[in-house]
Amino acid sequence: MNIGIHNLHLRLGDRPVLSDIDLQLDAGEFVGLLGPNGAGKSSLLRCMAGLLPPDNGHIHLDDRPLNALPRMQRARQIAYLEQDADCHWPMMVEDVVALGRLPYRLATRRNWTELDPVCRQHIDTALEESDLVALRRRRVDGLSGGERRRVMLARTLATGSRLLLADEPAAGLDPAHQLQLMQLLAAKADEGMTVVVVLHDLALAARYCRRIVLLAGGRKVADGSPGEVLNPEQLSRTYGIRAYVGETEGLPVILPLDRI
Amino acid sequence: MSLNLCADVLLLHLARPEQIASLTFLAATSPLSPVHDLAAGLPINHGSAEEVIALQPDLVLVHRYSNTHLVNALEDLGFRLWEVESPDSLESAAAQMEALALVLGNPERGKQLAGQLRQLPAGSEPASNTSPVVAVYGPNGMTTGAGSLLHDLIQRTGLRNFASQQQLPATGRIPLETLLMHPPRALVLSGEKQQQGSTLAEQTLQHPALRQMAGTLPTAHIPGRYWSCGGPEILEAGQRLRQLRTQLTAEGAP
Amino acid sequence: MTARHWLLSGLLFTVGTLFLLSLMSGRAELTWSVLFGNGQANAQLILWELRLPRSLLAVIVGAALGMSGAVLQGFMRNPLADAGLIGVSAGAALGAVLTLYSGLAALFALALPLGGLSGAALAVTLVYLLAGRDSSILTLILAGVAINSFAAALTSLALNMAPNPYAALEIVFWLLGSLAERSMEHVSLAAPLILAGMAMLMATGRGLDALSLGEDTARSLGISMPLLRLLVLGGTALSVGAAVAVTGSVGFIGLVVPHLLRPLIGYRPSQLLLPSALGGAALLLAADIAIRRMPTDVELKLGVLTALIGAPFFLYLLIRTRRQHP
Repeated sequence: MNIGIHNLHLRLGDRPVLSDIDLQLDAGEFVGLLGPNGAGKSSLLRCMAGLLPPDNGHIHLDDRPLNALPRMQRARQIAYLEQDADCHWPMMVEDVVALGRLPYRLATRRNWTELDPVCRQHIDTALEESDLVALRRRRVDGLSGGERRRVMLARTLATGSRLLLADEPAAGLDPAHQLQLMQLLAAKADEGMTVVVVLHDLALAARYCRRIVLLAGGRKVADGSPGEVLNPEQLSRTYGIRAYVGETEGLPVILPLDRI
Repeated sequence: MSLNLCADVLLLHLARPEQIASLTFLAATSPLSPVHDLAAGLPINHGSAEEVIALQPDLVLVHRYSNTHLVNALEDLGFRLWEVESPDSLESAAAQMEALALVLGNPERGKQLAGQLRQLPAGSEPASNTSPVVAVYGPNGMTTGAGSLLHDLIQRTGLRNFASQQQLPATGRIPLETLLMHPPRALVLSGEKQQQGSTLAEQTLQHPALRQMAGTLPTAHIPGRYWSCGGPEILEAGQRLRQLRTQLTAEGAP
Repeated sequence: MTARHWLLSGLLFTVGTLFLLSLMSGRAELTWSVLFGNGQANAQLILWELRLPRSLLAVIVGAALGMSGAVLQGFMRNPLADAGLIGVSAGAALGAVLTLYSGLAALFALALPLGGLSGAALAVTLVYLLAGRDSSILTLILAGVAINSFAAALTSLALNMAPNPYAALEIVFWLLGSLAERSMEHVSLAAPLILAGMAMLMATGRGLDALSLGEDTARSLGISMPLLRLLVLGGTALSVGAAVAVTGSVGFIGLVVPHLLRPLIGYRPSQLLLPSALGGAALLLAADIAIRRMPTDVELKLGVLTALIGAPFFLYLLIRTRRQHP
């Protein structure tokens, strides 16, 4: 699925949040959306998910305007992982993951075992991919913070959408699960899913994302491969840091050294 | 000057109009007042000590159940008080009228009305064990048992009172179920006819089960204002009860 | 049979048993044979005109309160939401009082439940605006306290201004609720509106499930928030409003029932709706049977009993939830 953003402007109250954003993403791209706090990353993601109507500009999904898409269709095509997503009730892990199937109406069935095979398949796969099979019958309130993040990710994967928008999915995960998450998302992109993730971990972004979009002050300041975007000059300009950019064992390493 | 509706009633019947300094606002307006006509145009009060002080009346009528703080305050201020009671029998109603008339300086008027009351059950046999049972049923199922004026009147008219058969107190409540399980020979409905249905209490009088029952029984309408204060309106209540008794006799009741 | 089927059948069986027991409870001693048309005419009258409407009302009003509690809790993501606590019942009582004592209800009977409905709609909208989404428990309770006391004050005012002297005494009914001496007229007046409201509430299941992941996620899953809001607020106003208009406000049913059943159905809000309706019906029937079987001279008001059970339960819940999410 490709998504096109043209001349997007967004204001919240008097404050301009996003200005003049142009972005074209193609199917199978794995895009890291980076930028300092308050740069507008989450707002851009919510605009792309159709949750926040822009004041100006257009968003197209496969060349169809996003706001013309029926609610249910949009829900099937775009999976959105909220920042700090959590479940308010202590439901069972597999029940939470099954919520990802809501756009298909079938998930309203009382018991997920009564779901049709396709639906079940999606849920099982999502549980496997997120390393949750052993926890599937546990209640989410008994899980660690990192486990809960994975449950929320599995919920978005269960939708089986072609566009995944994830807001800081790596936050709160231990290093092993961070790597697993990024590998999983990269694999999803390889399968043809368009993946957009908001990240704060520069090294993780540099290593896995194929493309980095850097936002600052509500504007797109850089867009390109990790090597092009994540260089010391760019980082000092947007983040105000001095950083070490190098590599070890052939993998990129970015280490913030100090503030300027 | 009167600070209570029942006292208003007695005052209007026993005093000369020029003796009355003030009545409660209820006398002329409340649906519970049986003395709208008599009270029309007379000065009114809202039952506060301030009004009493302003008027400086020679005599203040209060009720046994008037606000005790008010009564105490008036006593401390040195006013002459006279306490009206809700009579528990025909005799006590008559006695109260005589006593109040004496205080008001119109003893003949008191004797005359009291005499009428005492004659009231004339022409009827007092109730026996075989007399027909009549149930008084008011808004919310309110009824009146032994130790009430209406009970006395019912007995003297040759009827037995359902409420006292059920060991209910002078003021009690009959659940509709009890009434239906032990159906009386006749009903006395004590609600205000024209007002029915405007409150929940009065809706109980509209209940289909009661209507169905009332449809099959001789029924008299005697609103509470005819008997609750112990004024000469009792005469009208007695009249209606006697009609009911006559109707029952005609139907072959013992 | 899944666990849910067992739960539903158990609840249904309980409601059925209590319903029969309710028909057999009251001042008058009836034998079971009355059910089959035996016995004297007055026994039949008691059964069909007094106890049947009373028991039917207990079922539908209890169901409305239980289900609205489950829906409000799911919608506000707050385990302490309940029609009584947040002032919806008090608003409904005010609306009903205004139509009843102004004489409007005497002109056309439907005015009474419609009055209750409008009052409930006003209150539930107000609560939603004050403390609607993701509010803290404290905000919700405080908003409820404010709306409750304001509505109660206006109700009392309306009753005291009513031209009829009995009116002022009836505040107790409106604040505590009662099923005593209700008739089939009340059932036919309230039932259609209550059922319509419950149908709206039943349609909120998907939305409530999605909402357990937050409003943004719910919308991303294809839930229309305006539609869901309409269903929740409208359904609550209809069912609770019409219920309160004929029985007064009976508290705590909508708080206690969903809370007790939630662990049994695995916490999914959509799965809680039907069991809560049945549980509410069972609880209200049980409470109404209990007050009729108590050896008191004057029957207790229904709300007295539900509050005796519900208020301590509410405190326990409050302390526990405050500990979990301070």
